[in-house]
Amino acid sequence: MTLAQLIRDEKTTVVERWLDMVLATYPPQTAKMWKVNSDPFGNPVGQTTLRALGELTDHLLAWEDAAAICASLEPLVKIRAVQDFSPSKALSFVFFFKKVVRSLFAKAIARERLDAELAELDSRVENLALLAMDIYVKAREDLYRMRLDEFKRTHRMLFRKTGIMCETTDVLLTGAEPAGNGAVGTE
Amino acid sequence: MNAFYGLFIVCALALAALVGVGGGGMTGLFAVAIPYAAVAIFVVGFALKVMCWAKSPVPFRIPTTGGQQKSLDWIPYARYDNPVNSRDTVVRMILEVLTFRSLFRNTTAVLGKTPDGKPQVGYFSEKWLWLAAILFHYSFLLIVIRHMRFFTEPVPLPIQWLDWADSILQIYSPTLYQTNLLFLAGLGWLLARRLLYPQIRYISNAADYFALFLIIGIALSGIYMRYVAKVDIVSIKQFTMSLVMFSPVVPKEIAPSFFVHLFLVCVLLAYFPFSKLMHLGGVFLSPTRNLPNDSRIHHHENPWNPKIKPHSYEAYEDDFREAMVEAGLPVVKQLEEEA
Amino acid sequence: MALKPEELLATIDYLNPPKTGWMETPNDFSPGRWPYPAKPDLHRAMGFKHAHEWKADEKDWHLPENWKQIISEGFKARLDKYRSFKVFMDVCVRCGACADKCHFYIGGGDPKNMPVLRAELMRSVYRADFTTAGKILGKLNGARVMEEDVLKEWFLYFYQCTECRRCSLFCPYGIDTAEITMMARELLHEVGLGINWIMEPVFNCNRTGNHLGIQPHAFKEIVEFMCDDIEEYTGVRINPPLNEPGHEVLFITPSGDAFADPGIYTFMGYLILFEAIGLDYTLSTYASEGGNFGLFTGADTMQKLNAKMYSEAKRLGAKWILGGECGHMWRVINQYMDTMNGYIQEGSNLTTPRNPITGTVFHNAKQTKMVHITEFTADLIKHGKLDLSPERNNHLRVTYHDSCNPARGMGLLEEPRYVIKNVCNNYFEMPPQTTREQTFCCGAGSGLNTEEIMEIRLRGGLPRGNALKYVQDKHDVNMMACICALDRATLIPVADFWAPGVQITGVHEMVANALNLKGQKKREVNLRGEELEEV
Repeated sequence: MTLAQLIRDEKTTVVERWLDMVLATYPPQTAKMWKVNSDPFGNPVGQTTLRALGELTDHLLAWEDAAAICASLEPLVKIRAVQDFSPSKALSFVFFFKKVVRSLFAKAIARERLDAELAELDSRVENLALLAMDIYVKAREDLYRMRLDEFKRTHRMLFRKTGIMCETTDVLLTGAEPAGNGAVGTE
Repeated sequence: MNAFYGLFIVCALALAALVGVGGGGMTGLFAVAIPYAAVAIFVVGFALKVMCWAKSPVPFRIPTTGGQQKSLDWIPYARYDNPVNSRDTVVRMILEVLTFRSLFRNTTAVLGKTPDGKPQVGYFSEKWLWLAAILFHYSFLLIVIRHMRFFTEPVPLPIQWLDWADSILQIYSPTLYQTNLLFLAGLGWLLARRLLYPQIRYISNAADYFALFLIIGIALSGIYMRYVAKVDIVSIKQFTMSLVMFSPVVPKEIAPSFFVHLFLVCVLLAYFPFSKLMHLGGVFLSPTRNLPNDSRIHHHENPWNPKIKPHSYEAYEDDFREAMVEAGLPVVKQLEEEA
Repeated sequence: MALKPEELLATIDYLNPPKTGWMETPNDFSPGRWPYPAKPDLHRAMGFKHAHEWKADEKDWHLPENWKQIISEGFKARLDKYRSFKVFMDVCVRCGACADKCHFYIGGGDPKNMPVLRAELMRSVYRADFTTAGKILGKLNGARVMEEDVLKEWFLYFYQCTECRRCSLFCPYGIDTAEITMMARELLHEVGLGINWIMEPVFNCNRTGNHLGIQPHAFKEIVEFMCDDIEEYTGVRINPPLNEPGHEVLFITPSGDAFADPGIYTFMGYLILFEAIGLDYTLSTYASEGGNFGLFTGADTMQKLNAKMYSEAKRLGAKWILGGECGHMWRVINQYMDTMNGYIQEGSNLTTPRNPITGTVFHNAKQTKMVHITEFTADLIKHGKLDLSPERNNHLRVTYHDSCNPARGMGLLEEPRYVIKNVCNNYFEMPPQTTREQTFCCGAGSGLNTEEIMEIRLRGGLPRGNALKYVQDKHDVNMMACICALDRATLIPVADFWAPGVQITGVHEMVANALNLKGQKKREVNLRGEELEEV
C-alpha cells in the first residue's frame, strides 16, 4: 500500500477535509453556506474551491503537467487574491493539504513506513505553493495594471484632444510616417 | 443564545399562566381582563401601525420589475411581473400575498453530467422555505377560522364544513386535524432553519425566536388540551361565548392548560402590532410591489416635490460664452451684448 | 509585544472561528476597503454645509458636534417622507431569502454584505430611536444605540451596495435595499461624509453638463474627432448638430460614451444610425450627461441634475427626447424623472414621441416624452428601415449582460436582445439565474466604479464573471454587450480578470458595424479601426 494509493482511495474524504479547512478561512456562517450550496452560478466561490481542490489532489499524486496544475490553481488563487486576505493567508490553503494527509493517514504512515513517500509529497506541496505564488503575484499585478488601464480608457478622448498621447505603436506597426499633429481628419 | 432567550421567555409566560390560574387565584385576570386587553391592543395597535405607514406618502413609483416591460406592441410583456395598470398590479399583489411568488423565485443550479460525461447545468427550485412558509401560513389561517366555532352560536355552515374537511382522515380520537400536523411541520422547519443554517442563525435575533416559540407554545398547548388532557369543550365554549357576549362567566370545570393556551394567544395578540409580525399588514403597503410600472405613461404626483431648479442654461452660457463662440457653438447672447 | 513568525502565519484558527455577533464585529478600514472621501469644496458647493476634511482610516472623522442630532432628525424626516423606508424598517422577518442574492456577499463572504444584515445596520438604530419595543427591550429586540462606530459601519457597507435591487426581487415583502442604501447615503452626506468618485461627477455635471467637467468647446472637438474616425472608416462625413434649436429630437447619452473607450464606439454608433435614417436631432453640451450621480447622493441632487434634460428640451423646442444606453440614467427616467421634474415640461413643445421614420407612436413614453434608444432601434429594425449586413459582425460571438437598473427598475429586456440578434449572427445567453430580472451587477454600480476599491469591485463582479466564463468555455463567446456606460467601463476589468479574452461593447457599436450608410466606401475596418475579415 502506497500513500498515493491511500489518498486516491479516500479522495472524497481528503478533498472534503481540505475544503473544510479552506472554507474555515472565511466567516463560519459563510463557510457553511458555501459548502452546501451546489449552484455554480449562485455560489462561485464554494464551487470553484471544491473543483480546484479535487483537481489539485489528483495533480499532487500524478505530478506531471505543470501547465495543467497552474490551470487548476488559477481560478482559486485569483478568487483569494481579491478577497480580504493577506498574501500569506490567501495562499495558506496549499499547505493545508499536509495537515489533511497527516490527520487522515498518520497511523497508516507509521504502520506501513511511508515516511519517504510523505516527504516526497510534502516537497510537491511546497512546489505547488510556489506555483500558487506566481499566479497570486500575477493576479495582483493584473489588478494594478487594470487600475492604470481604466484611467487611460476613461480619459481616452481627453488625451487625444490635448494631443499628449502619441500613438507610437500604430506608427511602428503600419510603418506610416508620423503625422505632424494628433488629428488625422481630412480638411 | 438568542434562541435560548426566546424559549426562556415563552416558558416563563406559560408558567405565569399556570401559576396565576392554578395556585394564584388570579383566574379573573387571566380569563377576563387580559383577553379583553389583548384584543383591544391588537385591534388598536394594528390600526395605528397601518395608519402610521399610510401617513408617509409614496413620493416615487419604484416597483421592482420582474419581467419584460410594456413598450412596443409586438413585444409580449410580463403582465403580472411588470404591470402597467391597476388590474394587473392587483393580480401581482394577489399572487404575492396568496402564493408568496417572490419566495418561489428562489432557484439554484446544480452541475450534473450528461450520459456521455459532459458537464450540464440543471436548475432546481429552492422551494423549502417557500413550502414551509405556505404550510405555516395557510394552516394558521385555517386553524384560526376553525376556532371561530368557539365564538359563534350557531356555528356557521362554512366553519362546520371546514371542521369536517380538516378532520377528513378520521384517525385517532378525537379526530386528528391535518392542519395541526402541517402547522407543526411548517413551524418546525422555520425554526430548524434558523437553528441549523449558520447564516440564518447569524441574522436571527431574540425577537425572531420569541415569535416562533410563542406560536409553537400556542400550538402545543392546544394539541395537549385536545388530545392528551381532553378538556371539557362544552364549558370552554360556554366561557368563550360569554366573552363574546361581554358577560364573562368562568366555569370551574375549565382545566388550567386552557388558560396557558389562552394566555399565550393573548401575548401573541398584544405583541403583534409592535413586532415584525406586522408584515401581515406591511406586505400590502410595499411600494416595490403594489404600484404599476407606469410613471413614463402617467404622471405620479409627489406631495412634497421640492421643484429644485437646475443650474440654468443662462448661467452655463455666461460661464463658457467666449469658448462657445470661438468653437462655433450657437449662443443666445452674443459676446458684444455681454459687454 | 512582538509577534512570533508562526503566530503571524497562523492567523487562521479553523478550530475556533470567531464567535462575535455581528453587532460586536469591529470595522475594518484597511486600504482598498473604502472609496476616497469627497473633496470638501465640491461637497460644500453642492449645498452640504457639514462638508469637511476626513479620512476613513483615521480614528477621528471630524464629525460635526451635533452629528447624532442631525442623523436622528434626518432619519425621522425621511421616515415621514418615504413610506417605502418606513415599511421596510418594520416588516423584515429575517427569513434569509435575500442572504445569498447579493453579488458582494457571493464573491466576498462578509456576512454584513447579506442584504438583510446591511439593512439591519440601519434597522437596529431605527428600533432604538423610533419603536416602543426597541426602546424597552433593547438588544433583545435587535436595537442598538447610534455611535460613531455604527456610523462608520454605515459608511463601510452602504458604499458596498450598488443599489442593484437583486435582493428586492426575491424578498417576499419587496424590501428594497437600494432604497435603504439611498437613505443611508443621504444621511451620511448630511454629516459631511461623501465619496469623491460620486461628488466630483455631481459637481462637474452641475456646472459643465457632464461628469468629467469637459467644457462645451472641448466637447464639440471630441465629437468631431469621432466624426473624423467615422469618415476614415466609412467614407461618410457626419456633422451632428450641437445646441441647435428647432430640431425634432434632443439626444442625450451618458458622457462616458463621449470620452471613454469603448463607450466612444457606441457614441459613433449612435451618430451613424441617425445619419442612416436621416433623423432630425440635436445634441446638447449643456445637457451632455445622461447619467445622474445625484441618484447616489440624494433625491435633491438627483432632481437638480435631472432637471437639465427637460429644461434643455424646452429651450431647444424639441418634440421628444431620445436617451442613449445607460443603466442608472434609465432608472431615473423611468421611475423619477416626470414625478420630480415633469412640471418643467409646461410650455414646451414636448409631445408623445413618434418615430418619424416608421410612424410608431411610443405610448409607453406618453408622459416622460423620452424613448430608450433600443426601443427606437428595435422599432426601426422591425419595420425594415435599416440596411443591415450582420455578417460584418461574424467574428463576434456575443452574449448580453442585462444592466441592473434597466432590468429591475424598468423591464427593458427584449428590446436590446432583438436588436443584437438582428445585427450579429452568433448570440448566446448566459445561464438564466444570472440574466434578465435576475441579472448580476457588474460589481461597481451606484458610483462605486472607482479604482481604489478594485478588489471589492472584482469580487463583486465574480458572479457575473463566473457566468461569463461559463459561456466563454461553452460557446467561445468573445464579446459581451451591454446597455450601460458604467458597465462599459467596469465590465472590462471584470472580464479581464475572470474571463480573459472577452471584450465589452455597447449594443449600438454592433448596430453601426452592421449598418450600411448611403455612399459609404467598402467597409474594411470596424469602428475600433480593426480590420474585418473578408465576408
